[in-house]
Amino acid sequence: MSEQVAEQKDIIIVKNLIKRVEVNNGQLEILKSISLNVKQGQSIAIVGASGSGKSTLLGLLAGLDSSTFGEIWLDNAPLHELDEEQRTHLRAEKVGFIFQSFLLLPALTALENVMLPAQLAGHKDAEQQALALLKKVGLDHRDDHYPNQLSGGEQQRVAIARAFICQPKILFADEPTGNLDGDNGHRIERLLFELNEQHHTTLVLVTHDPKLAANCQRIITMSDGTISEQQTTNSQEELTHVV
Amino acid sequence: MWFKPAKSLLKQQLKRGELTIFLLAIALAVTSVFSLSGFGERLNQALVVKSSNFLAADRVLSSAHPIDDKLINSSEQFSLNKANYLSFNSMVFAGDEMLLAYTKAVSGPYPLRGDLKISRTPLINAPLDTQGEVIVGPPQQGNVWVAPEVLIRLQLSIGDKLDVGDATFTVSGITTEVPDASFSIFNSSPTIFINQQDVPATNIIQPGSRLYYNYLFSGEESDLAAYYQSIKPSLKTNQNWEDIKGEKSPLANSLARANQFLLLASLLGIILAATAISVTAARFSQNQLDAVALLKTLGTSDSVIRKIFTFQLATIATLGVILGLIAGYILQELAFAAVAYYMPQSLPEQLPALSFKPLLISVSTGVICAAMFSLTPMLRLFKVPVMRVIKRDMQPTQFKLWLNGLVFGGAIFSLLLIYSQDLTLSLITLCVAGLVAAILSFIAMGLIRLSRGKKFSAASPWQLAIASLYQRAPQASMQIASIATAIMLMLIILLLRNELVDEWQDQIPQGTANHFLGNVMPDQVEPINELMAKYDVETSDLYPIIRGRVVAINEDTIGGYDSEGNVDNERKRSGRRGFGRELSLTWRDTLPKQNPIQQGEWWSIDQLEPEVSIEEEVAARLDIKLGDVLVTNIGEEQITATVTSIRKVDWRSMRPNFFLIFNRAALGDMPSTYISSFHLPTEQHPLLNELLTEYPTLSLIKVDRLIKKLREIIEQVSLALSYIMLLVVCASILVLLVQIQASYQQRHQDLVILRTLGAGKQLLKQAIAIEFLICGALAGFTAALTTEVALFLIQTFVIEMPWQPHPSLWLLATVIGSLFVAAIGTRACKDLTHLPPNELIRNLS
Ligand SMILES: Nc1ncnc2c1ncn2[C@@H]1O[C@H](COP(=O)(O)OP(=O)(O)O)[C@@H](O)[C@H]1O
Ligand SMILES: [Mg+2]
Repeated sequence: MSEQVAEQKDIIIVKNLIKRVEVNNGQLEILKSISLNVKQGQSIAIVGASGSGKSTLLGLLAGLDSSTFGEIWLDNAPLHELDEEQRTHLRAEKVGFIFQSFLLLPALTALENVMLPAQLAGHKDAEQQALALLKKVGLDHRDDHYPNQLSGGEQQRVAIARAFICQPKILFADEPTGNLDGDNGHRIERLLFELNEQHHTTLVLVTHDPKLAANCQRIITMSDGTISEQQTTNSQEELTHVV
Repeated sequence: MWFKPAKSLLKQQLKRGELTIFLLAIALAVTSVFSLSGFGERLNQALVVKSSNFLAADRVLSSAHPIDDKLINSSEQFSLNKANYLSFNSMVFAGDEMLLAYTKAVSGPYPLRGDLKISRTPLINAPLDTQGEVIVGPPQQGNVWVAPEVLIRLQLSIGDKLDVGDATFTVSGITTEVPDASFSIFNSSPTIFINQQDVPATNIIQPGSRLYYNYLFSGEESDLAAYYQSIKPSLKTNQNWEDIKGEKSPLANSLARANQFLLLASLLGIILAATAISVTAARFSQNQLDAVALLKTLGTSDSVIRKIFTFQLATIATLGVILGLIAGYILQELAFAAVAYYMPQSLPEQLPALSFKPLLISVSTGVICAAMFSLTPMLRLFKVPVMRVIKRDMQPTQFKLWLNGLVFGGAIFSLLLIYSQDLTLSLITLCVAGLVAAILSFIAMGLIRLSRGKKFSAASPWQLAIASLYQRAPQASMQIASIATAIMLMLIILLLRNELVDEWQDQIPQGTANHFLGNVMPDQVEPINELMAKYDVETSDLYPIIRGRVVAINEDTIGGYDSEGNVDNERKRSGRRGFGRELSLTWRDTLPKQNPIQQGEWWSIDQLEPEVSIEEEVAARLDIKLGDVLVTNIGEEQITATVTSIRKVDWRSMRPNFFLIFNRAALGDMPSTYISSFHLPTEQHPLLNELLTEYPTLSLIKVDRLIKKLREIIEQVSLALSYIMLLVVCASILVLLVQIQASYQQRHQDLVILRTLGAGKQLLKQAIAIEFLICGALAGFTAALTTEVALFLIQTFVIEMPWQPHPSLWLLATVIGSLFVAAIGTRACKDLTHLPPNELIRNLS
């Protein structure tokens, strides 16, 4: 198995990524020349203090924003060369998201929210898939409820189901448990890793919860726009565990 | 304690622009009310002043007996101008010739309004009304000014002698224009003017002689009113205080109608502006939820919070009112300047000044709007649960719908009432508005619910649009309701305006009779017709005129016999006092045009029994029913005729109109003269000269001036309406923008989520466009529906015009509605489709 992992190609390649923004008094460099490779199927946690640039990096990796300088390759596609609309298509095809504040569309039912990315990508069997996923997250009986009829934990479960429906190659999660209390947070955590494993998705997880980060194979620490990786025993454990 | 945080919070909010839209909405309401009422008031005053020319004054106090000088002179304390004339009918003689003339014995600066023109050297071949000079005051003692007919009939020239009573006068001029000339067709006597000081010498004033004392006043509207209040207790019942609006003339009618219409249009505009305020007030308080929750967490007491927000509101309201007043002032000045520029001839020389009333009305509008519309949202705001700090989606309890409705309706109603000071009109407007809102919300809700089917696909822009509408169903239906109201207002104004103008123009189409011919002898009918034909002039039917007096209805003789009728005001006075006096009667075989039968039937030509048709209002007043028997004295004879029909008479029409029309069997044998009306372009005046020289006993009345005045009023009202339409359209766009603004945050978030999840720009653009198209189409459709209802109600109960359906309106409204809303909506949401999705992570994570 470890061999297999070793054979995996890099699904995310970041070279010398720099992000600057205009602020009142000049420019602010949020990301300072970041390079990073992530292998397919890997789970990687990005930790760091608030304001260190985690979300900015995640946004760039997911193609939600464009960089000032540097290259990002996502599953062989040069994100840095694509325009906004092309990046949108790429996202529809390959990327799933989970956010801290769930971000379900209040206009749609749970089922419709889950179906949404699949329908946008033009999948035919969106409904069956969505129902199956809702069942996996334990909400198949709530399929016609609207987000405002669901609790926070339930909404995040719907969001997780939505994240997986397109069988994304890469899943980005920005503090997915940040808005939830302990029990619900753990439940979401478990679900996330479970599904991740089942679907062989590459997971990029932003968190400042060390315990959550410890579940990942790699942990990258961000501080003030730079990253440093600690090759933890965690990832070793994980690998052994898989073997 | 509270002032400092309140101030800094306000500063912050002003900076972030959260209050801007609220402020703008208040400013808009104040602007429209101020400019509408200011402009309307001044225009109205201008119209009245100009129209007062027809009274030769702003007010006329008339009486059959002299009025105490003290009472009249007290008008000086109210800084009014005054003049008076004594009027009577008397025979005037020139050699062997004689003529019954209507004499005005003038004292003081008559006329106070309008122009009296006297020509000393009349040219017979030029139009008379282009000749003469403007004169104020009576002729010199011993002189008389006469109407042109007098010269012709008595074969006099300037400088000749004319006897009035026992006195002899010198003809020193002819009147070419008289402001208060009679338009009554039955007044067959030409007018002469003498100096009042010559009256005793004529020996005409004898006990029992029929005299009229007319006291003319002019001045500021408020002064006139104050003066009237002061003399009112001393006036007797037969002493009338008249203004131009009280006249039952085509002019007064049109004026009143124009006023009501302007008022109505303004009312609708005000409702719209108020709607914008209420939406922004609700939104403002919604946006403050966090701040209030936070303040509460930090231990701020409820009373302090209340003070903070009341302070904010008061400040914003004050700012909005001031802004609105400035803008409104400028706007109404501009509008008035436009009228003055385009229609200088229709305004009086001295433009009426702006009074305090518009200021008062508009300020109270701003205050009422700010206070009442933010009442429930604010109360709700204060109830926000502290827990919201942690659980952001926690909302304070919503107020009951009926409570919101009550406050909103109450506010609108008080606005309407303050503005119109007309309870019926306010009630009808409010009811229609309420009904519209209810129907619209109901329909919108239903349609939205229906269209949200089971199968949903995010890939279809239609479904996205419908889902979005569905989610916002309550707000969307309100949004649709207000857009529909805006469209409805535009439609109503557009349609009413057209119909009003059409109707007016129907009333005075090109070629409308501008001359009346009276006192035509039976043997003159043929030759006069030939003369008319020679000049190629078309005449109306000839109506036989027989003077008679109704003495009994069924068995009851009529009381209130009043002998001192003044022919000039015959129609009015007889209307008031019943049939006590002589009336002009006629007989016909066929129903005259524009005299629709309300009850009963018109007689057949071969009917041998005497029958009579009576005018509706008189019938109602004297309680005369079909089948009643009227006994009429004509000379020595007595005619008994059965009432077989009740007619409606359009008094505004330039035609001979009658209270009573008999059939041939009743009056066919009676000796009579005839009257007729015809149209004559000014350049054909030779005909008039020929007519009057050949048939000196004819009486001729010109109504040119009146018709011209009517046209002017129509033009002015049209211009005023264009201005109001402009304001209403602006207000409706603001309402739309305000509504979109209110849903902006939610839309923003939804779109960013969709973008993040891979929805293409095109799809989202389409979805937004479709959503607004649907909104607009729904709004347009429902607007058409309610417009029909509203038009029906307004035309039936307020301005009394016949109603008819407008099928094309439905299509038009729907298309215009959807395009209008989609255009503005997509423009307003343009930024949304350009948002980079990373905003999501930054703002929401
Ligand atoms: N568009 C922007 N304009 C100004 N500052 C920005 C912008 N984007 C990010 N920042 C700043 O960059 C820093 C990193 O932000 P972020 O990536 O959200 O941090 P984290 O997610 O680690 O808390 C923050 O200080 C933030 O204020
Ligand atoms: Mg972050």
